[in-house]
Amino acid sequence: MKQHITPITYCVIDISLFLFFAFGNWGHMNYHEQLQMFSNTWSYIAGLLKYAGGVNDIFARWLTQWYFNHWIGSIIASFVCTLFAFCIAKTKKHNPIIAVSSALLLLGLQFIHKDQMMAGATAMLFVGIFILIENRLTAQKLQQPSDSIRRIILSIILSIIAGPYAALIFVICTIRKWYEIIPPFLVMIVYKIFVYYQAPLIAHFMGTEYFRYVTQFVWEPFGIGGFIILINYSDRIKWSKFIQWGLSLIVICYTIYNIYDKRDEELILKFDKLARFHKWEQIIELSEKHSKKYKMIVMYTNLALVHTERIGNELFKHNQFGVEGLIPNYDKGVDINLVSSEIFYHLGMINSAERCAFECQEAIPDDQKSVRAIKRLAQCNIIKEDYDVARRYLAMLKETYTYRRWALQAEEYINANQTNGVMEWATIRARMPKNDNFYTVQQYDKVLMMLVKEAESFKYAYDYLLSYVLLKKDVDQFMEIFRPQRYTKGIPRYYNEAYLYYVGSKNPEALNNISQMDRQLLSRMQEFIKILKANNNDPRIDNYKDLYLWYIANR
Amino acid sequence: MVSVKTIISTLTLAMIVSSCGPDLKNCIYADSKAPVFPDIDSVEIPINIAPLNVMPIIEIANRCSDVYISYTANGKTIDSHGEHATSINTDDWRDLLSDAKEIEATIALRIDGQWEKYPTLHLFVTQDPIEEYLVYRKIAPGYESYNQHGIYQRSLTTGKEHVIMNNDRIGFGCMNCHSFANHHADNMSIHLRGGSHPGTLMRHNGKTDFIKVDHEKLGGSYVYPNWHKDGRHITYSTNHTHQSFHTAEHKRIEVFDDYSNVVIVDTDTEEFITNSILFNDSTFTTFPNFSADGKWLYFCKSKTLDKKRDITNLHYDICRIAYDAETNTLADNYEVVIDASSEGKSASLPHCSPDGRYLTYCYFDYGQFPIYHKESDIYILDLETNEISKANDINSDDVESYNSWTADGKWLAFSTKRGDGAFARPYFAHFNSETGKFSKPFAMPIDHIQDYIEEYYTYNIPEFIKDEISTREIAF
Repeated sequence: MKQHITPITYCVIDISLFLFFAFGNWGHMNYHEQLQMFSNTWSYIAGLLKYAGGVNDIFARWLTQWYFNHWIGSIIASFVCTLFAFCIAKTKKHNPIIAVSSALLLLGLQFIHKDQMMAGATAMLFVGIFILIENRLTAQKLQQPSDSIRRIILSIILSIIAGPYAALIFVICTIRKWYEIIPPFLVMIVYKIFVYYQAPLIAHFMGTEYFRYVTQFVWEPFGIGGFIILINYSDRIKWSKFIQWGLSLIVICYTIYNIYDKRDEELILKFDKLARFHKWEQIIELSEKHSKKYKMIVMYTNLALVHTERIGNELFKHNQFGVEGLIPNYDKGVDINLVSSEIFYHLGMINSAERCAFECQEAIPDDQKSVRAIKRLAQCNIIKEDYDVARRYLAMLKETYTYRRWALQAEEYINANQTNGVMEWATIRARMPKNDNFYTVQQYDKVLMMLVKEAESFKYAYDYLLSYVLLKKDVDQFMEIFRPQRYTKGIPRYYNEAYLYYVGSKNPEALNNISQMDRQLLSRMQEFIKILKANNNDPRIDNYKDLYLWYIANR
Repeated sequence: MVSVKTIISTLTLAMIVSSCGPDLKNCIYADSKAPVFPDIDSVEIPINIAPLNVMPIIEIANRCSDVYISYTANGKTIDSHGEHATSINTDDWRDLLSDAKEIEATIALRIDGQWEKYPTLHLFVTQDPIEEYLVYRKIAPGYESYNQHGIYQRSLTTGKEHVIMNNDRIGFGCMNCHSFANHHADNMSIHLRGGSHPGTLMRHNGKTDFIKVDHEKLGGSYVYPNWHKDGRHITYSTNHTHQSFHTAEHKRIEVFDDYSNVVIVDTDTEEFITNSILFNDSTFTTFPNFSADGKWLYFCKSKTLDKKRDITNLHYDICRIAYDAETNTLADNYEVVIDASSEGKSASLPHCSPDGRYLTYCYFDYGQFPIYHKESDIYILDLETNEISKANDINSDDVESYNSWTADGKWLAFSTKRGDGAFARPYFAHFNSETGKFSKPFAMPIDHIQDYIEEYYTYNIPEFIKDEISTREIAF
């Protein structure tokens, strides 16, 4: 039985991690996949090789592109963690607690935060593999080349593959002579002087990409490095078991805490994935399950409500952020521009969708290209019939594994002059504004008004506009735009409420003349007003959170 | 029985033969012009230019598995072929150009497995050499945000590119508006914004440092520069720039100022001078440019925005004001040189030719930033005869924008988006100062021509310089 514990341990680790990634972390996978574009071109590869550690970056990005399918991504991520655990635990005779904590270390410090990069994990994996190789060669007592030279060669190779910092961890774990510590620094200096002078020395020292914000200091790589070194030396110091157990416990607790702490971030990423693939019903379901007040979640939920034509009935049943939760103001961030691009794209505001996709891309702090943004740019230019520009973006996508097919198909449509044959493009093309105007990022209601004026039948824009003015609490403007006669099957609940509120506040008698009167709703509104007038701190007020009136009074 | 030696020899011979060039015996002869980028037909090229390579245009790139080109002149022929693009040997090319006046180019493409040969093209070689280097900024053609970008120099004789400064050196701030005195790198100015080292970087007489800027007095930073021929004075505009967007037009952005003025800086004292013509609240002045003899300062001028902030009503004229570098003084009056506003148009980016006779500028519908105006074309004013002509030889259906001259005034570099409408590329055209006409322009040759498609960068502000700048020389 004892001989089976080791493989069973690793199987359990791998399967557990797979389940975690597949069911708990799939938003994270999607986020990473969309914020890069692994390109099979020499210029892309050469661009990464200007740092020592570039080889690892290439490897990690190549792996990350397969996150396109989160099952494959989960297999990859869990395998990387398990293999790392194997490498570290093997040095301690496959101690299961070290195996578990090593796997969780990599998970907790390189896979949980959305800006932690796969390259950091694979760099540490390379460290583990090289330590294994060195230990094996030492055990075999190979005479040629001498031990020191062998370690120097290995550290140089590891420096070039995974960066001088990673090689330094290896050196510290295996050092026998003082001068063996020099090679990683030498590689760093050589790259700085002869390969890529522009980058600061610290960038060359770290080499590979641990964190997306490359100028920001992060402690996690040093945490992982420290763990590897301490575990490596734990046998040679007093109370080794205590140290091993203690470290392992710290890692396990920290990882669990980190997963818990980042759960909201992961939730937002899940919304993003669902929106990317137009799973509108699932977005609404998720929003109902997790009524968190994050702007991104509110934006995705509103987008889904418009797509499912439920916004009129359900807008204020969900948390709202004012107009910012419907159409956000301009922001230089990656995430906000991703969702903004979705909103504008479906509204037919193609110039805006294109701008947001571009801004998203330029905001990516580690200078990667985003396949999602590039695809959106291609779509926007196809819809605008700027085919020359669209072809450029399609040419970029054709150099990827996962988007090549889509790009080739899109190109066929362009070549055959049949872009109207794709329903999505034809629909959105028809929605595009006909008249040109200037606008700044503070004037979205002006643009929505224009869209509605150009095509009153454009329900999507109409719903957005009505929701926009309601969120602005501008009931007067709502009444200027609102056409109750459009709704032959019943006025959506919140439009109805705003309508009743307006009429009731101007002339309560006129309420009796409204043909589509919802008496129950009116009665509820009147109750709320009564309670509010009597005491605006009355706890019963919160029972009316689903009312638009509550939003007006409280938001 | 065939010996191993024979097999090996045969295989070796076959490899040698196959590497010599494609077999065009069974090719189809096409009537149409070769579908390659860049267009090299009837272009006039300088004797020292880097090899002109070609690649299939993007529409057929998928179907094209081989591209071949041969250049012939005076009985000499050189050729090259490749899967995605050609790669002419630089030494062979130089040898071909050395005594050539006219070159014939034959292009063939293997499309869907079948070789197609196209009508012969003709290139003309002029004895006027082009400047050794071109400096430009490469940046993604974005909006407000920017990522990694840099200022680069490319050798126009070899096609190789080197970075001068990349923005990861300044904590990913923005770098722009490079300018060189007299086409030499020992006096240069680059504006850095944000990041770890914001300011105006000045390299003056070999020393690099940040120039002192009185932000309060100026109301901003030094933005668009141009050196005086004395290498001591440099003119800048100071601008507050904004963006606005179109709802429907195929124009992505409108860039406009709500504040802009012009000053002249003495680099020895780091003080600036100006006057009420160049610096006031009721007009916008921008894009200053010294004449070749340094006696005139050309600049763009318009009324300020109206209350509605209607950018389509912003029309810039090109004006000039007399300047005395010795006393560092400006005249009290100015002349309107290009009265674009009276025609409901805008003129921008004036550049004087080195012989002082001509002024090139961009002419378009409104505003001061032509790169986003498809209708923008380059015009040329003959300062001796006051005759204005549209440089039809170099304009296209898409935008022509920033332009600059070589030191001898024989070549003009300009940015154009004629390729795809989104990414600007530098083109060069030979100029005949007697006729005032340009030759057909050609795209800047680069050593890896696929970069024109694979790269995500647009090329800004092409400026000629004579000497190479080492990135280590710009230490700060």
